[in-house]
Amino acid sequence: MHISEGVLSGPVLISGAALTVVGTAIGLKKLDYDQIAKAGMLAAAFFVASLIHVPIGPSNAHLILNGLVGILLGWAAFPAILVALALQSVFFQFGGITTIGVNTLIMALPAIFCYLIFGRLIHKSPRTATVAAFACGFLSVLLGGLLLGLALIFTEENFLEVSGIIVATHIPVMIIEGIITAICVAFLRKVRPEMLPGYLSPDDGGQRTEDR
Amino acid sequence: MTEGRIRNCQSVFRLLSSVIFLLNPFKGLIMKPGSLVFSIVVFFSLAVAPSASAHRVNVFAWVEGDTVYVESKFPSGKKVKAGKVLVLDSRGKELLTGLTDDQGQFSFKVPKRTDLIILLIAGQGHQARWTVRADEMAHLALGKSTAAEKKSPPEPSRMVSKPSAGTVAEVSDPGIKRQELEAVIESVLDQKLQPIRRMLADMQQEGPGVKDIFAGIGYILGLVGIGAYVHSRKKKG
Repeated sequence: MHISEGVLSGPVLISGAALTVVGTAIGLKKLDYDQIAKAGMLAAAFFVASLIHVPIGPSNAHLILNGLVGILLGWAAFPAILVALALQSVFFQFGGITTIGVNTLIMALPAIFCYLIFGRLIHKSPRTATVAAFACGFLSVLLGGLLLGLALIFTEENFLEVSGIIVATHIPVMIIEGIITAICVAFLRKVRPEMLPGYLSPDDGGQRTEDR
Repeated sequence: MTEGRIRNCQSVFRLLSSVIFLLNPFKGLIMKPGSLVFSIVVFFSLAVAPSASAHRVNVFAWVEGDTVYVESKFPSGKKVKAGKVLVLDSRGKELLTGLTDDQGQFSFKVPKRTDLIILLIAGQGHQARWTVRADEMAHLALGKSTAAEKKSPPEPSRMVSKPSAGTVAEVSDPGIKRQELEAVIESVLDQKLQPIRRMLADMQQEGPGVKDIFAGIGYILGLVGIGAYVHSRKKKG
């Protein structure tokens, strides 16, 4: 899901970069002290996940983990993904420096969208939480694929065909990321519930500790 | 042999990267049962991976005789099938286009003696470029070099005419003209250099290594440190 250098036209690059700047500013504002370490860890996970290829089917796609980053970080997913993508483009030559804004938007926007929809649900009953987490991991990749198709609309022209191919090749990735996100959320609920955003601490009389 | 070695390296670093990936986000929690399933899922997906990727694409081109050969691959070694190849001159004017075959290869006759920019469009936002310099085609009989060839034949005859009759016979004896010799050397060299070109192409197309992974994670840790520092300054002030 990385767009290479020189594919997109100027206006697309600039608008992508502008929206990423806005998103990153919001993310940094909402990133408080306790979350910095978590954001770093998830940025590292996101950075490395792109090296893990999913071999199922005709696809040659790799893990993205934007759903996991989104559900655990909320708006702070923007700076985390931006940093990870910048490093990927420098060290792995995935994507490119000029396309960093658009690429960040493609992966971070679905993550935040899913966080806003499913973020509250992961503290409900275990079954609801699992379903919500799976949907979060699944949908983040799906929406990312659609956004990628949208970004390419000005160069490849046929939106339906391009996004169709992208979504089809990412179906195994969606399922795997859904499972990973569900397992991570289920695990964190048991071991470190305070790591999940919107957690209501029983000690604080129901006060939100990390409402970001 | 080199291919096998490259593949070995790749699998090693993939395994390493998976270990980092597992250790990093959930440090200290790894031995607990919940994460066991998680690690199994990730390891499974890694162990089976026959390496194929689509986030970067490589293109490599060289001149052989009067033909330019283009080879394209994803870093994993998978060929780019039916990728669009655009050939531009140094001013960005399109000279010709084509599609790569099942081997990820494409070849065309040199259309013009200039720097050729070869642009590979592999779809889904993947694109790469390679420049073939004009001096790689210096031996070709296009434009300038033909003039040089026309000039060259008189030279030996002039040389020959000066010495005495005895040496004339000796010089003309070999019966090989300079151009013919050049052509033979050219083709032999092309053959001999083929494996080296392939090796260069493979080296150029290697994926990221362990060094890159650790470097990236180091940067992220540094940024976390900076963030923590900035916050601690705010608290004091």
